[in-house]
Amino acid sequence: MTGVRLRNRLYGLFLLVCVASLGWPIYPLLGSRIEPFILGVPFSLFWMIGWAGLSFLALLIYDRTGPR
Amino acid sequence: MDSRLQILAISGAYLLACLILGMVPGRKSGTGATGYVAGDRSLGIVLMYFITGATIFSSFAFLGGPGWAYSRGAAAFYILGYGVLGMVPFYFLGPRAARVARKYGFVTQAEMVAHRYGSPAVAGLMAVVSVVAFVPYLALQMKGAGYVLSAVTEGKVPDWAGAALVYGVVLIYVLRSGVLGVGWTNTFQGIFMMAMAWGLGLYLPARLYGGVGEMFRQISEVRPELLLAPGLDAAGEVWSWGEFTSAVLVSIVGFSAWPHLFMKAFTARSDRIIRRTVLLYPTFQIFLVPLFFIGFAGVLYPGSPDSPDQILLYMILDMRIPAVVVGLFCAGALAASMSSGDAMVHAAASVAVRDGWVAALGRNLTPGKEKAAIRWMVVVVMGLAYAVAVSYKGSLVALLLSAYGAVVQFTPVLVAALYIKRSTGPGVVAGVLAGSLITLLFVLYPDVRPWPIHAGLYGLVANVATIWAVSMLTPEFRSSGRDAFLRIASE
Repeated sequence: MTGVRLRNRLYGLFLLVCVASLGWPIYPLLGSRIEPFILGVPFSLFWMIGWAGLSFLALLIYDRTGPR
Repeated sequence: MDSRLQILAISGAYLLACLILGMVPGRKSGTGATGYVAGDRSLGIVLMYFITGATIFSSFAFLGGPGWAYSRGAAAFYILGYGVLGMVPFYFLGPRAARVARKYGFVTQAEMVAHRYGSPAVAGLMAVVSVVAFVPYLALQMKGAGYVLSAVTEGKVPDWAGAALVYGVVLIYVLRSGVLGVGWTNTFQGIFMMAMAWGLGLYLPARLYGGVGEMFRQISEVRPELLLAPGLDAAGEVWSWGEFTSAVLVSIVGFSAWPHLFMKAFTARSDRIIRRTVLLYPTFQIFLVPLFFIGFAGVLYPGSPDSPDQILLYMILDMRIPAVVVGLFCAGALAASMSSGDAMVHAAASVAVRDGWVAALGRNLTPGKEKAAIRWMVVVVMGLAYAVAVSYKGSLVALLLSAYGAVVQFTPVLVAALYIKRSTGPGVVAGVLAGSLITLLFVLYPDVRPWPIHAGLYGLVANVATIWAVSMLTPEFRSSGRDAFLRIASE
């Protein structure tokens, strides 16, 4: 039971950080810059692609650690 | 062969392929509404993946996405941003809804909510809001298709004829095959769309600048403001973080509440498949990236189209690239329009009959009659949207924004119905009304907003507060049915 609760808490925490990173306040603070270019795209675009990847990984872990 | 004929031949072949694919599954689905609307709850992961993914990517993504990147720069990243979490609510709500639907036989979200509260009024309200929202949305897809065909043929195929041709095909396969027709064609269209987006998204920067990296380097020297979030607003001024962030939030919350998406929970073979569809969704989302490349490729391109949405077509026609490529692009744009339009018309007709006629007005129909009624509604909705598309000269986008604001208000209702025992029917009706009206007010009069943030966010706050307050003030809806409903949902 505590394992399930920990998993839910961690995923909830991830969602909070993720939402805050998709706009104000974390995106302007850390993400919205042109340099460095990564894979040819400016960092501000890479930031969003990166969060799409992280969100996928987080949900994958959440899904795999769930009951059944 | 004349290049215009080549383009038309490719588009025609594409439409024919969709028609054939859409006709095939017609013989397979069962009789009655469950077969026609929910595909007998038999869909596997491939169909579910494409039916949701391709439905989301509409004319707006294909033409509007590049248009935003071109004219507003990093503001377009918000479309990518909300997609990062947009399907996540569906991971939790979808399987719950599917479980109660299997038990009680629901095929739409409103009849589920109405059953939960024993309130036909909820179903009626949601049916009206959904249909009112779908008509301008569908009209916009039709306009997109008509516009593309008329542009690539230099007006030889007028807008109204192009839209009629494309949506004639959609009408035929939706009528015949229902949700399976939507699913099969969307699989084909989704693959096609992704291939076209990546193809053009890499080809245009390579041809114009020698590569994606070089393109962004040049833009960063000449127009660096386009590469910094939150980008620009429609007037070309720097957009505000409040608007950007609240637009992302509202879209994340409201995304999965759209009936044509949410109803797909009822088509899945199992809960597992719904979860996996959400999990895989970001792979579809990444397909926005090449569409942004196309828009950015236009930034330093000499000359400019009449409106930003036309940047892709403008470059393609101006660059004199081979007719085959233009034809393929044209088919890709039709795919984007059709794969969303088919799901919308199918959902709107199902909602009108199941929620409006059966659930709200209490007219029971035999399964055969119900299927027939939904098919008639498909024709009616399609005709209505077509009339709006060819005759309405005002801004469809404004109409759509107002409608969108109302549909977003369904999410708190779905959460209340599936999770919160103490919520009541009058509570959710009042919530949707309050949320929709507040949103509409601020969409129409943006200057009266207390802070410059998305109108829908005010609506959502009002909605949640109203559901809570009115539910507390109205007597609890106690019934063994409610308890069974919530138990099945959480199993």
